[in-house]
Amino acid sequence: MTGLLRSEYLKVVTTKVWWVMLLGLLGAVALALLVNGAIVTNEIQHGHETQSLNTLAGMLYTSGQYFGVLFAAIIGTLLITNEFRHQTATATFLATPKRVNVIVAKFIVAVGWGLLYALICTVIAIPIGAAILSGQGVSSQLGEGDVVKVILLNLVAFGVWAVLGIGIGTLLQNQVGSVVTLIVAFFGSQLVGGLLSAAGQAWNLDWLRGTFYYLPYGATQVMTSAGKLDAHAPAWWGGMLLVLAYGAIAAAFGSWLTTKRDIS
Amino acid sequence: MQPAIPQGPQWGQPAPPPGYAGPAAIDQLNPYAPIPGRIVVAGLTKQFKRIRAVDNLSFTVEPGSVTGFLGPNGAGKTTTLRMLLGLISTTSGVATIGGRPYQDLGSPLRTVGAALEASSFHLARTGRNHLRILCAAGGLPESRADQVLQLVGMTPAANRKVKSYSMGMKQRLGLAAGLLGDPQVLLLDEPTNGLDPEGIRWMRGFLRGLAAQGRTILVSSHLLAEVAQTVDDVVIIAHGQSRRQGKVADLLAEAKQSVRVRTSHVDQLLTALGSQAAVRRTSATELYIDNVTSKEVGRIAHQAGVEIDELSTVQADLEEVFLQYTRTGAGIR
Ligand SMILES: Nc1ncnc2c1ncn2[C@@H]1O[C@H](COP(=O)(O)OP(=O)(O)O)[C@@H](O)[C@H]1O
Ligand SMILES: [Mg+2]
Repeated sequence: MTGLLRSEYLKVVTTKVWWVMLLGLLGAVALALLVNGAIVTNEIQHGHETQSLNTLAGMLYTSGQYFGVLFAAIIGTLLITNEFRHQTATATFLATPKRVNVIVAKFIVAVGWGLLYALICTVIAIPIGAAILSGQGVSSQLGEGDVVKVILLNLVAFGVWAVLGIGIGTLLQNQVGSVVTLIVAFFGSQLVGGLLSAAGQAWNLDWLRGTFYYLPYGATQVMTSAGKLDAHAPAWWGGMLLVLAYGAIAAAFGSWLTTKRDIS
Repeated sequence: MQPAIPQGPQWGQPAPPPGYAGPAAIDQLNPYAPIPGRIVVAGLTKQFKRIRAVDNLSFTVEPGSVTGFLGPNGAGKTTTLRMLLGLISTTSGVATIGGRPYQDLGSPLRTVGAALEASSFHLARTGRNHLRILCAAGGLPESRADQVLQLVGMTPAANRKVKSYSMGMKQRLGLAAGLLGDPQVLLLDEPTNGLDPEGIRWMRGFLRGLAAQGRTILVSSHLLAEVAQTVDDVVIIAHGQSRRQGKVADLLAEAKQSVRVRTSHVDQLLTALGSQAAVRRTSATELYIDNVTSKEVGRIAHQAGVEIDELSTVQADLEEVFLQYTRTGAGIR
């Protein structure tokens, strides 16, 4: 398995996609810190009535998550769809005819990559976020259990999205199709979820109101927020279970398909 | 006479048991017996949605022999090789190497090497990195990458991206990938496809070298002439079915032979040959005579006292023999 892991690791670092993504990620963190910084500063100056300090701190420390999880998912998707796009699947499965092992190695490497991206985001966001808070005369909140939990779960979120990315890649095989699907699903699920929640609000349908938080990205947000985001949202652990379930379903189905398929 | 069959750990095969009498002894009992390095295809069938690409195909390739796997485009060669390699599932039948399906080989790259297509590389990756990735996955030292690149003459291009490679260079890289584990068995799918004449000559020489080392080679082609010089045996298929199997020498014997004669006394020789000989006069000093042996022509010329400058046998049309077995209406399905 170590050989396989090295093989999959080499597949990532021998093309330049990963650092192009990394540049994008750094841009995303910078942008997110700017926006979140403004929101948090504004909230604190207005007495942070709507959201607790912990929630605000968590928001700062998870800056970059919004696009970051998408990048992690795309890295995962590329790891598998490259094999079909460039027909390297033939060589890969000749070297490792037990295909499940290849998929497992890809999952591990993709999760590792997601965690790396998450760590980079976090390492940047914590000092800057803490500086923003202290600029407003507020402590960093880093001693708060809720805030630490959010920071750790943010790492989990990147990993799970990387798994989701592989899942979609194994399902669709087509590279462009998979990346487009990921992006559409990412933004689309927020749009659809938001609309359904709004509709639930308008027609007073309680079961509809929380829809947003049950779709992949909404659940990610639930999982990585200190305190409840919304009365209709599940608890943080509910969000985590949902996200893990989405990842597991995509992973299991995709792996099964990959072991069945003809490689020609 | 076949070259000695290499066995033992260097081939990634278990050493034969004590008292093992060698393939020939077992051959007589059972042509499908699981012998290290023997390729067995038995009753192999692949039904794609609409097309029966391989249809109840059976053949064996003996350890240490070089077999040409021939058939027109679409005959089912690639599908057969991919089934042997566990890349495509079989509809029915067996395809084994050394008695085992590819998936069950302990360390596949050390046992079987394959070069299937010249297009299956990530274009933005260097040739060397492509091989390093395979070494890692196959449990081989990464130094093997540089060794096989050297072997196929690709060292100068090792660190260039595949997108800058010519067709010939990609074929060489594919071959290098197949040789990573120094396997006893090689499966090569149309290795000369898309090569220029110089590349074809290089590839033929290289394959002969591999064969001379006693490796078992199954090489596919859609041209008999392409591999006739290299292989011992042939398996000819069309529409997924076996059409002819045997020694290449037997097949060559079926090809219409002509004798080419150069002499400054053409008219005298024509008279001596008589009227029933099928003769083509191609110039003032050259004749082609069909369906005779050069020995016979030499004898006639000698008896008639005709001085001959050159006498040679010409394989008139090898492809005609091939076509005779594979021609069955439309080739493209
Ligand atoms: N994945 C596939 N799905 C459907 N048909 C296929 C597939 N692969 C090959 N075929 C068909 O099977 C037949 C044999 O193809 P192939 O094995 O590639 O022939 P060859 O290698 O001898 O040219 C062809 O008619 C081809 O169109
Ligand atoms: Mg083919």
